[in-house]
Amino acid sequence: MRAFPDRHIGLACCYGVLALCAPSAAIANDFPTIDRVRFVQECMALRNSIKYETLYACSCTLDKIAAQINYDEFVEADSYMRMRNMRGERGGLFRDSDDHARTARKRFHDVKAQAEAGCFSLQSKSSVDAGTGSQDNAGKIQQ
Amino acid sequence: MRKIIFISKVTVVAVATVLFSSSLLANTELLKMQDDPNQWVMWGGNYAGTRYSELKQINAGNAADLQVAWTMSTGVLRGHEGGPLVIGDTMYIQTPFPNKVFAISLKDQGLKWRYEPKQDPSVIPVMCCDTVNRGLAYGDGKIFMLQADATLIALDAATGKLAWSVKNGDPKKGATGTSAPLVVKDKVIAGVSGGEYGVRGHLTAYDTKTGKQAWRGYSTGPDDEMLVDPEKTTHMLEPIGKDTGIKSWKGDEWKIGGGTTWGWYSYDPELNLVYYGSGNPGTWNPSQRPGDNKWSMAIWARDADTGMTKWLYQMTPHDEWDYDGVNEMILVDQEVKGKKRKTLVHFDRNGFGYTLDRVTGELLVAEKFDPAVNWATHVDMKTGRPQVVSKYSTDQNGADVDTQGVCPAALGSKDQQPASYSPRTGLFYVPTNHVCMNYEPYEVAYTAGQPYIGATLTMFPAPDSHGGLGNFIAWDAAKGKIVWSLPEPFSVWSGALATAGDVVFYGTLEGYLKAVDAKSGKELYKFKTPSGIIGNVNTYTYEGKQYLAVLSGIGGWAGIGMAAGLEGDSEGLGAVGAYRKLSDYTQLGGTLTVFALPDSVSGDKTASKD
Repeated sequence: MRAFPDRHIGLACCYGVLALCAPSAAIANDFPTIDRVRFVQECMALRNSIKYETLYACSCTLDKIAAQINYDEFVEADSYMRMRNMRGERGGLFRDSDDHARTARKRFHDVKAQAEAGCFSLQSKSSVDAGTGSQDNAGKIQQ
Repeated sequence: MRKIIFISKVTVVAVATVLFSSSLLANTELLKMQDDPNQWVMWGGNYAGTRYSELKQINAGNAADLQVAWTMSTGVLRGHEGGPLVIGDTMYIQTPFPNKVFAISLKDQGLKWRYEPKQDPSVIPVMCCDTVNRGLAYGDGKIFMLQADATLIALDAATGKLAWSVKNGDPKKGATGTSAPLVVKDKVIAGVSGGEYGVRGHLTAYDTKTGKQAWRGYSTGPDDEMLVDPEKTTHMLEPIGKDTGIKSWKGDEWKIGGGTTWGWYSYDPELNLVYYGSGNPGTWNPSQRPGDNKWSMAIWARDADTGMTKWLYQMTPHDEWDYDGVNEMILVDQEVKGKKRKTLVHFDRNGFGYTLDRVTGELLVAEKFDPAVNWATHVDMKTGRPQVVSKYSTDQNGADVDTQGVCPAALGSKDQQPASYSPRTGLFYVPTNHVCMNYEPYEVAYTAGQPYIGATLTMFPAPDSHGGLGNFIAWDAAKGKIVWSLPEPFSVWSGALATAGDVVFYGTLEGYLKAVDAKSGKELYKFKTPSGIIGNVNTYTYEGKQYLAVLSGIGGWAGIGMAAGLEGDSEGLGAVGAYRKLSDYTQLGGTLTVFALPDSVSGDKTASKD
């Protein structure tokens, strides 16, 4: 198991970028550690990489997201995205009917895409492909 | 990080608890066990279905200090309903299809055994509302489960060996199994799902030893098949009369009349009555089935030994909105209008909270438990009939007309997730939906094994309210009044738990386990589990320490987080390989999360009891 690097270097880099594109709204930056850890873990797993640059880019992505939306909005969008995929009648509530859900999902998707675009460079931001090259399908928002 | 348990070596350990085997003992063992707060022996904690525990080590003063003690991944995607049973030193949990059963040692959280039935996956598309399973039942040294394919199985609680199995319905005709059985004396009682497939509902009792059918009572049809007595079975205190299950239908519609029994079953040992509700009548297009459609949408009180019906109460005659009557029946003795009564309290999908005398079936209280409810103005206390508002009547508006703004939606003001009752506050704690709908019925033909729905729906948050899709309320069932109401962003589809520590627990679709003060509703604690919670919160002790246990997992990509940020179904995700990558790395699917106080707070580790 490879040791993780001094994360301050990575974070400092991210914050540097952040400062340039800081939104006018107040930055809540209120994500609990547990969700930061989990996001970065999943982000790295999805890219099948435990390299430093993936750690940096995934952390950077979450930092950028947390600078744009607060934690409650994140949880709401997360919930809507999951619930859309619930089976049967109950999932239908979120698939067909609810504009608010669609808006929340779309907003998160946009924020995330923007964050990734600002964090990934050499390593493909589109590596959710498992070698099938189907990232376009995977990332598509179905409205 | 904890390893996924079920792939580790399985060691079969003899169950330390003494498992009774004679039927004489079986008659009484559960009556004793339900009074022991250290165990959680049936879905409701007890036969009355109160989901109340006398444990109070975790209380309103220290719930904020709760921590996760241990977790276990079930490895199964899809929605995880129901909750764990705790018998002695063993916890039993079940999963959605393929309906795995795990017996977990509380000593080391290792697996004692696991069981996975072999089922034809063709049953999956026949399940209207995800491949859920609402839990196991224990009795006579066995664990009972109703499989998705409508097979009822009995497993040896100590070894997981299959003792017997019996078909409780035909999945080829749309009958499936989702509900938790209930063991009463020497019988195990099971219901049937498939209300969206024209299945004719029934409640059936089987001998716990052999699986031999003892009785079966249908929800519709001839009196002798429903097990009703035209002279003695009552509705609103009057004999129901002859052939009600046929005459209240057009032609042979009763044969595909729904009235399925996929909810929860309660039992009063003194009255020897089993209580439960029947679901929607056949098609969702009401103009195809004129009449009251008896006895769909009804509360049933059946003799546990014979199945004979003592009384009935139909909440939604001639349903026009899919307001299944299957929600739990909570049996509580309380004072109503100055008189001590043996009552039954039921929060129906139709949005009314009913309080009945459970001895006679007399209707005592019927009030809206969500102010948004608009399809009926009130329930006439003389006839028991809801007074339907024409504007919201999908029957009066007719087929191919979109009836708009009906509250609640077809999901009901409350779905199956069971409420709880605390004798300390005298209040019921109810997880609710706050959702309305547009409903357009259309003509549909019945084909066995095919959906028999005949309506299109759109659903949305209740207008002119807090904008969220749910509430968690405290309800006074004697007065029929909301005492407090917590707005929730999402519908609350998790079963509640109340304890002598004056804390009420429930889960949310965001995945939060919440603890609130039983008196005020004030939030004391919340913790985000890996996925949304539609399971029920249960509590028990092990070696003097109190634990809370809940299953999370809502299906879809349960467990896959925002880093993926994908939309589409789980099969699609599998196809792109992300699922495989993630499953190498993290625990996907349903998760059991067990909470306790850290030792520094629980102190001497003595779970005190009143």
